[in-house]
Amino acid sequence: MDNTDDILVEFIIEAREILDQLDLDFVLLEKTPDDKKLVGNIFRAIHTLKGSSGFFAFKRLEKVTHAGETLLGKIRDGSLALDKQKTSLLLVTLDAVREIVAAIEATHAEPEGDNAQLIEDLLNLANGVTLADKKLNEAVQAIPLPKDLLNLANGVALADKKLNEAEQAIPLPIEPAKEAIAQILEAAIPTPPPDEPATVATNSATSAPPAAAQELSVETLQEIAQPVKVNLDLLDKLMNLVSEMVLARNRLLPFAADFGDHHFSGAVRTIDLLTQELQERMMMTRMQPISQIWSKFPRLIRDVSNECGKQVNLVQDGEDTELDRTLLDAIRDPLVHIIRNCIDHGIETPEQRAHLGKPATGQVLLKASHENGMVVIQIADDGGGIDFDLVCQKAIEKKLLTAEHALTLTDIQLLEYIFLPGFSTKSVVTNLSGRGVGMDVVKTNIAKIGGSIEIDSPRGLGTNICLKIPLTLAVMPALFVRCENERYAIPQNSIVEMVRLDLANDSSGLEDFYGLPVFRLRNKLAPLLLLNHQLNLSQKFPGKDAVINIALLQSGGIQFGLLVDEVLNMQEVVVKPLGPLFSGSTDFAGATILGNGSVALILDVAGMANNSGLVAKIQARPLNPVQIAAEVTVEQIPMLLFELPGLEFTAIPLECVDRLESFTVEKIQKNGKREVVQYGSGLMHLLRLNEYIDGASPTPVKSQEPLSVIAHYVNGLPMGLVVGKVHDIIQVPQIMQETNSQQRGLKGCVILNGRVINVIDVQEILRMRRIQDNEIMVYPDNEQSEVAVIDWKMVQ
Amino acid sequence: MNNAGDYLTFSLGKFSFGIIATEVLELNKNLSVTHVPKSPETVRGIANLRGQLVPAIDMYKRLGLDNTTGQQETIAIILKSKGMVVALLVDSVGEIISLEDATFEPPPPNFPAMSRELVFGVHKLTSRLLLMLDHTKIIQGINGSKK
Repeated sequence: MDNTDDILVEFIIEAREILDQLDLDFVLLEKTPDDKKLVGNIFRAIHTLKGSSGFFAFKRLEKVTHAGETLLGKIRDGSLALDKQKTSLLLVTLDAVREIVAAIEATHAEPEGDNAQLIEDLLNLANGVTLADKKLNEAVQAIPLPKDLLNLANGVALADKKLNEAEQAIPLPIEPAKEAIAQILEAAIPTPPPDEPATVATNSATSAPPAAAQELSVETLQEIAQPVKVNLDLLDKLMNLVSEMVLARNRLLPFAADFGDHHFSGAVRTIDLLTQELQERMMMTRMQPISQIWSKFPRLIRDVSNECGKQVNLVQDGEDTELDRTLLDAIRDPLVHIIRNCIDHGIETPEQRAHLGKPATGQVLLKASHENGMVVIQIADDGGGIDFDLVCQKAIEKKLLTAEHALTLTDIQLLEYIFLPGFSTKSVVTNLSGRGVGMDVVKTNIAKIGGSIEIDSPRGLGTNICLKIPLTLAVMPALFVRCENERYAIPQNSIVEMVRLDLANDSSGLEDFYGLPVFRLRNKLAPLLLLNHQLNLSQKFPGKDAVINIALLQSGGIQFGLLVDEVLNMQEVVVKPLGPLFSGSTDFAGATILGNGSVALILDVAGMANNSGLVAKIQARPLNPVQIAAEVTVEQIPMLLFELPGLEFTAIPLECVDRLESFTVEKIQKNGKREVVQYGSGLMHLLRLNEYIDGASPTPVKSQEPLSVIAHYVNGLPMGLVVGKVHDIIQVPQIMQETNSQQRGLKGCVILNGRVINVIDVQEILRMRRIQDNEIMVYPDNEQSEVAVIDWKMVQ
Repeated sequence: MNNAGDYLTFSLGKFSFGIIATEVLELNKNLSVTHVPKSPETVRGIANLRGQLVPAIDMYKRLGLDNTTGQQETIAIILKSKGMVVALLVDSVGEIISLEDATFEPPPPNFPAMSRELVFGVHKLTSRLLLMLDHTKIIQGINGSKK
């Protein structure tokens, strides 16, 4: 047994589960054929099955499911109606799949022989079935026929009837179908000849496996030690019990310390240790490294990239990151989808890549890490990124938006369309993608487990998809806050920080920004939501001199403050769903039971941000969020504060300061009119700032003090700015006070602690210097021409 | 629906009600209910029943009655309604009685519409009228998205 066997066993178990569920779903679907959601579910299940078989290279299975999926796809988008015949056909397809799965399980234990048969079938299929979807549909209809004579008879009637119905969507030639039936009739029990594609499909689907598998499966089932499947409910209950036990132990511990009875203490210590171990082991049953699912990806990538004719290299990082088993299961399919997308849509063909100057082999990065109590999984590729123009075009085609509206949308807003069910930019349905199942499934699956998905796709530079998954579903740390006598829990992973604001002492207090209350946090503006308003508890608004508690929260890239009455404690909570009666509530993510038996509600930060209109307000501005953030917040920049003769407080942006130097007067030498000092292996020109700035006094004559010099590199050459005395680095707002009339050499000034600080304009000073030099020197040397280039850009 | 059987009686203000006893799981006197903001009006909140979260239904509101007693309900009937466990907040609980078809009458036509949805009939007993509640309808019509 090699290690792929484990995965295979898992695959078989999964396939069985899917098939069982599909049986039920189909029967249900027959009763309610209009249930779009159910059709979607079935479609996805088949899709999953196909995907899994794809990466095991079970071509036969893949093809059968692909055909089934095609028919279902037609039903899903309404071009075909589901009737009894179609349902039974699909059910028979399921039977065929089931038999293939059984055969796989059997051959898995079988020696070489049967594999050869399988490969032959596969090759025949690969050669024969280069059919379009329509013909595959035909193949689906051919599958049920060989079951037995009764079925066969039905099949003929069925096929004929179907044809008579003249379904224009699928012009189904009668003759091939009849031929296929006739051939199967002839070949009733022996294996049909493998030269006719339809029969190959039916052969592989039905007649071969049962004979081989039925005897074998009995033995093999007993041989393979199936992993024990424990009901998750049971596991959860055990988990809860263990947590309760930990609490009970905690109550016991102080008693032991107080009593001082040796025997009692000994017994308590034993319980303590046992409980601890129990808890650890319990956690271990749930936590598993992500490599469990990742180990399948190299193969997947190999196969998919071969199929697309692309070269892809997979880089994995952080494969020992652990997360809850249930979550692991839940993210596997989304990850497979995303990776396939990366290769199929993202990475270009080697020729295209060479043309773009990228290495022929594309890179896919898979990275997992723990961050703020979440597992962050990053899937990045260096392909072409999302084709936003195509997304836009498809959205217009599908009448999801109007052409005029489309023009106003940013790339980020267009991203939303990718997540809509049935949306695909691929015009041709291929085995890999184009059916429009995919990103919507990814999003629903991730959202279902409380995770989020972020896509960053700069045009032409690749796609970076970030999944944030909670570590575990069962327990999460939360902060308790009070609002109007009720306790609420805020999930810790959305809390950035806690702020206590004394409005009486804070000069700014709460302000109004586009109708939204905002507060200042370290001179940045942050929007504020009032919990009591959000929950319709009261209309109270904090007074002018109140001391308020704010939890700074983060959701979907938006930071906002949540005003609460009181901040209580931090505690691990067990999340329980609120149940269907509260399904309309988007403010709560669930509830938890506190130590005293009462119930506390857990706030849904993202839902609340949405409800409040905060998200809409920010998204409504057709700018990218970075610019919005820049608008809301006043950026601070560091500056170096120094003195000039006559100007006590002068500052230069720190980014213009490369080094601080000090030179004695003796070191200054002359190069023509200019002062220079030896600096490193070359020369540094000195520039006396006070000569270029309005309001500064001339340099004191014959001062013997060492010169303080700010070295500023212009195109790799040092320029020494001579200043009086260097003080400190200060933080000043980026937006400066406009000086009434522009002062020479000054960009403007800022007010800090009541002092006016002049900020020098380095570019202008350099420009003045150049003009001066040019007046003198007819033939500019290298350095000056380089400076000239910079200045020219500046002027632009 | 068969109108005979064992019924649990309870009262809300001056009204007496009956509800099928076989679906009643337990009676609970000290159920502490946590209010869920923005939930439907008929749902008082959510309560912890030994680790299980159950919605607590305000039966006055559910039946469209005014609580004129000026007091909080004292007892909760824990009941299974359509596979879901709910707590019905009522003033007091009486006894379990066996009822015969003979005393049953369909609801009078002048019955308020809100109650008519839930009350499938009346049992005329010697001392009082017993309004019969259909337990399956209790959570029906509570719209989760209603503010």
